[in-house]
Amino acid sequence: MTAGASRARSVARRALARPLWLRIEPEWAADVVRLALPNAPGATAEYQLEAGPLYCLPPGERPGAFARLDALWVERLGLAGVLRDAAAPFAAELGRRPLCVLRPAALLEEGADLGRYDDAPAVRLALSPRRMLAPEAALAFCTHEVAHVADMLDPSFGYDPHRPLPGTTRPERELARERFRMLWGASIDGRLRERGLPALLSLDGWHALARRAFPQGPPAGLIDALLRGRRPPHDELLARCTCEHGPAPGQPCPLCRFPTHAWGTQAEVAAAAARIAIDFPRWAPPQGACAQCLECYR
Amino acid sequence: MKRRTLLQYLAASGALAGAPQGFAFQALGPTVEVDNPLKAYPAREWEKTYLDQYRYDASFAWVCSPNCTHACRMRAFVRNGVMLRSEQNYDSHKVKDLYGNSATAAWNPRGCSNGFTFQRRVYGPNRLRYPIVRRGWKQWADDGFPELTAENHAKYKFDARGQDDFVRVTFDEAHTYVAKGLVHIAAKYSGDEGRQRLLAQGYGEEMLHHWEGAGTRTIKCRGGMGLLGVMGKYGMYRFCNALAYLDQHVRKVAPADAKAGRLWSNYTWHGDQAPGHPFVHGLQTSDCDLSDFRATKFHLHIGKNLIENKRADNHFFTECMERGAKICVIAPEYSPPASKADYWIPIRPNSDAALLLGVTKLMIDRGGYDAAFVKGFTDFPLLVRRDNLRRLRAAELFEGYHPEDMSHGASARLWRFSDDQRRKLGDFVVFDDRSKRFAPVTRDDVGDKLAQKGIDPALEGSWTVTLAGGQRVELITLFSAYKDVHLKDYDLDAVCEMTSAPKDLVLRLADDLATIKPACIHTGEGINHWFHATEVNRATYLPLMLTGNIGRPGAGGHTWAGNYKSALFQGSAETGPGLKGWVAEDPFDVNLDATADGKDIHTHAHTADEEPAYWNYGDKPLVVNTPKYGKRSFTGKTHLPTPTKAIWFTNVNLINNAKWAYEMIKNVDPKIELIVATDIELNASVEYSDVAFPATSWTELQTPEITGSCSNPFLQIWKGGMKPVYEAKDDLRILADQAKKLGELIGDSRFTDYFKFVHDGRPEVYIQRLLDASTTTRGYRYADIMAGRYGEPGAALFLFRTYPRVPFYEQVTESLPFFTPTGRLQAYNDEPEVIEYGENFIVHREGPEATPYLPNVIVSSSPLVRPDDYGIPADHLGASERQIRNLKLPWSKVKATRNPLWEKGFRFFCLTPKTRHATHSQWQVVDWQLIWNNPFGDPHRTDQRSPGVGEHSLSMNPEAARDLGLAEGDYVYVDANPADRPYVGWKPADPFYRVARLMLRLKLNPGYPYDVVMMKHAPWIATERSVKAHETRPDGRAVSEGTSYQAMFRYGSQQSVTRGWLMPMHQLDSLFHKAKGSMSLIFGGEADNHAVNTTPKETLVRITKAESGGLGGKGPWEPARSGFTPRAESLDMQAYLEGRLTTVKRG
Repeated sequence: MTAGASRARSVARRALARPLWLRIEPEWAADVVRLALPNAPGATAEYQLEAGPLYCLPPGERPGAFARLDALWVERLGLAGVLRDAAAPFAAELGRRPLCVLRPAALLEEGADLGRYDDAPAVRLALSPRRMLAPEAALAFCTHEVAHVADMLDPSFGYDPHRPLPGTTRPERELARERFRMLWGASIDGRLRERGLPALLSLDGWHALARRAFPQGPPAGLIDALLRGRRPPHDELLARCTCEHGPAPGQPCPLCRFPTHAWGTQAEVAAAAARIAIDFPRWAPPQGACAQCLECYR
Repeated sequence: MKRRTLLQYLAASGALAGAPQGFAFQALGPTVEVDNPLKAYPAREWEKTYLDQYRYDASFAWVCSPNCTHACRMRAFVRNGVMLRSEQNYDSHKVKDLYGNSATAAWNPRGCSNGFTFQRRVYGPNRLRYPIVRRGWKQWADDGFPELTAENHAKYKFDARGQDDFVRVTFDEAHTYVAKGLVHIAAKYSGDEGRQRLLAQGYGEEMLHHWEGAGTRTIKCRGGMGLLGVMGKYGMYRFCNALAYLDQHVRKVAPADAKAGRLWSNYTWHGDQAPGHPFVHGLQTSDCDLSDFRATKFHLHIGKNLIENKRADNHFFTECMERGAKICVIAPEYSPPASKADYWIPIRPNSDAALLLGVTKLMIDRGGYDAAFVKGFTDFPLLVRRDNLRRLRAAELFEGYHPEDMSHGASARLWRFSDDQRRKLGDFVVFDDRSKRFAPVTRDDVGDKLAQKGIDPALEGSWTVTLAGGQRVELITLFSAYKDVHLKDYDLDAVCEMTSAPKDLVLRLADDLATIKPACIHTGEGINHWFHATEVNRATYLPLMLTGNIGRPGAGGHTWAGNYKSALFQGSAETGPGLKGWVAEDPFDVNLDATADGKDIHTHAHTADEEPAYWNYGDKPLVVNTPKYGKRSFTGKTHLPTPTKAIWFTNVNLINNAKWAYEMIKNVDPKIELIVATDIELNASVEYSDVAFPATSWTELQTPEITGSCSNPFLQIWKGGMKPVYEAKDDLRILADQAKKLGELIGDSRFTDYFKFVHDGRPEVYIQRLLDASTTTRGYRYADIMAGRYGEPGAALFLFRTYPRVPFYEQVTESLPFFTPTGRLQAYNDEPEVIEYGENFIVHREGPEATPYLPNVIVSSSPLVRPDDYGIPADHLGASERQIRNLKLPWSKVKATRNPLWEKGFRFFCLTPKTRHATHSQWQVVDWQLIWNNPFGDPHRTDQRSPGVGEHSLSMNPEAARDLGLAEGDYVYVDANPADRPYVGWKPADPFYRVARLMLRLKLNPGYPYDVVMMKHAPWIATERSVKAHETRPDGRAVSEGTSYQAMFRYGSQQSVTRGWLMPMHQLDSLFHKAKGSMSLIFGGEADNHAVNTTPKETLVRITKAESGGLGGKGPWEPARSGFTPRAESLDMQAYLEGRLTTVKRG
């Protein structure tokens, strides 16, 4: 065995001595370390010093050795601490589930979810390596995400992954999904704020999201209640996401259920109301009707 | 909802994302150890894998024969029995005719991406794999065909075919079911009882005119563009003729009285015919070989797109530039051919006739015409009576007129012009400038024949004369009538207002047409798809008639839309029955001698033609209750349909391509008791059928097939070179087996005999007979052609008079009559109906729907145009009434009128041309074509709203989009007249409305004028199953459960905005013209010849936003932010467009 190989194995043994409940995808670690090294004075040279000998290892051993080295550097750079700090407040809910960190396939897929590792339950956190360049924001994001998983594991939340989204059409379901994201997120941020933990968005930020998700205005008082820390169970939150079929651009027409940006005027709706009511007894004029449907009842 | 799902706007998952419940961090694999790279490299073994892609075991030639008009001979390469790829056979230069003549080698190479990707259709997921029967229909048959009460209608899902499912059956079972169905329907609708049933079902008396007591007449058969495969596709009509046996069985009638089914047309129903052609020259359509472009010096391209839609041979068009021809394109949009033109004349859609009339006026006023040709070959010198608007007949003027003996003239000798026909048509009169007297002329007196009589007809003049009966009438030459009366409405200023065409370009066009020879005009479905296409077609001939640009190389007016030309196998007294010997051999005198000459085959068509446009109009003719005359039929007797109770079609996506398709599905087809489809793919027509047979494709044919084309001279015979995929059988085998099964069911072996040589394994006997019996192929032997005696195995040249083929060459060079009543090219039609409709002169009419002005108004103030309005008020909005209302107004008044639909916001003309990446509905969902056929192709389906790896789109002017608040990539609704579209009686509460309303993506294109949108035609429509799939499948694909049908829309289709129209001018009994399949002349309707053409462009649409184009319906479509799209150009892009990226230093 060469001297270089011996040094490499020594590095690897030190990495293995770290706590096991944090599992980091080698590619994530490699990306994070390469991104973070330039911000840590002298770290790059030190890293290269430790990495150099690994090239002397037999090719089959190199990936594992690099993985261990990068995991070690994630610790040294203080980034593993961000992850642990994010998970720590929810240790009771997470139990023995390891927090597994990996790269998302796309930015939109960032987030935490339940998963399995080594055939045992785990928490899966898809996290953009670049996010770790701003540790405080990363901590807020990770805390928020782990809190979602904590809710999912909390029986009182009643999380059921198979519960369908409200709505009969794809646009309705997509709208409901956006609303659910917003309401659940607001609820979590509210509780984090109550506990003095970092929140993902400001209160104004959540209200802005609420206005976008509910163009006609969110259910009265709901957002404020959530931001104050209220946590309705899963089914109740979903129920608040139903499309109200109001005449707002992009919302489904209550008659044909096609999303529309061309609502009839109040006068047009009123003129056709009696004929519409024959086919739609539960419809009321304030719900509006799209211009094309009004052609049918003109 | 899972948390993962929640996190994703879209499930474009990678490997990690795809395993939410389990993941493992992957280690890198070991790398290769290389001690001495110079010793080891270059390793070239990997190249073998690449090179092996092109290794093949065998190859075979086949003909790519969709309805593109090219019929390109391709060569397929096979490995391990699998067709891997195809390429051009590159053989055109070798092919010769019987006499050793050859066509130009410039035909090479032929073929396009359709042929190159054909293997993806052969093995594609949309393949129809085995016979299927709709579950509800099967139950109806198994229950013994109980009466279809309202309850049973619903029970057996005749009103919900799209929600039923299919049962896999064997071919034998499928044939048995179809046979039982046909026997049941034939019996049920025969005789008095059948008559009462039909009347009780609401069919009018008119519908029983051609029924003639026979239930078989409610059976409609359609071989999809029969010429595409004369044996298998036209064979459907032979099968239909065999139904005479069934009628004999049901009604116990004598053979002479037996009625077979009705033959549905193709060409006209596709809207491909230029319906005005028979009015002008009497021929079904004039088309030269595309290689004739090489001879032209001026190419006028009207509403056609030879670049995109004639891919195999469009080089002949682009070569016009290299060969010094001038090109002018008339089209609303800046189209691909416009980009090749010397000048492009933008025009308001549907106003081409006005432009051409304006050009004609300029040419006449400036003396830009060839007087000798006009006198010799056109009807301009013939005299017209001003009182009744009829041409003056010789017998009316000359007392005791004795018609000249024409029995030895060309009309009788070549075209079997009969005495009876002559009595009906009469002879005509000119004023002879030489003798200064009126002179009679017959239809044979054309060109030199007229000169030989010493007649020099006056072009201009008007007279008041006393007729033989003593009546004083005013006469005028047609030329004077045009020049001094009719064309006054079409002066340059008015025409430019009507058409929006720039004045200077109209003048330039008139000059070019008057001075450049040879000049040709090429049109196509672009202008044929309007209600008043007849007038536009007629108008295109005016400049050509004035200048003698007919019947000469590089000249003429042609269309090439659809491969319709059954006359390629034309019958004659000398050769025999032609195609008729195959499709209409007398079933009661079948020739079973394999060695018989095709000339000796006896024919008797027990069938009757029918235009499916009537089915497409609610299964009824155009009968209107007029205020002035009461109920009146505008459908001539020769055109009348019968009730449709059974349909069998092959190789045609009948329902997908039906204008007003959702009206058919919802309101018309439920009354049809048996719909049978034969196809290679599971398309929308199969989705809505009762029984479907899987057919072999062109590469799998087990028996020889034969085809030809309207646009090239190649006669082609071929077989496939591979085993049929799945359970597919040849069309011809399916037809023969179905006939046999019918015979077994009713105990009549004649059904089997009628396809004897198919059953004997010698179908080529029928091909030889066809070759024997046709004017264009007599002398050829099947075996010689297949042996390559004419240059390439399977290929030869049709025996045309000229290569390239030049229509009317004989007429002009040998002074033979055209196929019109007068024997001349006609600018005037005096059939009584035509006069009544106000179209005796060629006029510009606004469309009955697609116009900003008063619908259907005739733009004229001429006293020689006297239409009947039937008492229908100008503001009547009924579709039927709008079609027949003939109001005449001068342009000064027309331009002050408004179409109420336009006022309601339906302000977009909707153009629906062919796409370059498909042939009508064929290839539309081939993955590769679907990806590059539209701007939204995406093999990853990043936006899961997309119905497939691509989807249909609507092109729109960026400024118009801006004014409507639309952005590129948005989903938009396209709605047409809500009175009847997407179907009559639609309601928001009807789940079917959700299927039928059109939603598609928006693409901005500054090449389109403000009021014009465009969507390519014939994509696969949304069906009930595809919409259900799209709304419920996790991946959002619009792929029907159970059938694998792939829609190209989330909702609706192109047909959501179209409707059936029945043009009165297409339904005359009095039009005299050439029969399409024989050297003879006829009056009235004939399928694909003089019949209703469908007109999908006759619609106005309203565009409204549905969803934003960004992923998940949020924000703009990402490519629209690239800076390279219209109305969102980056600074660099703007600089590029303005030519500022490059500077040229001078000096």
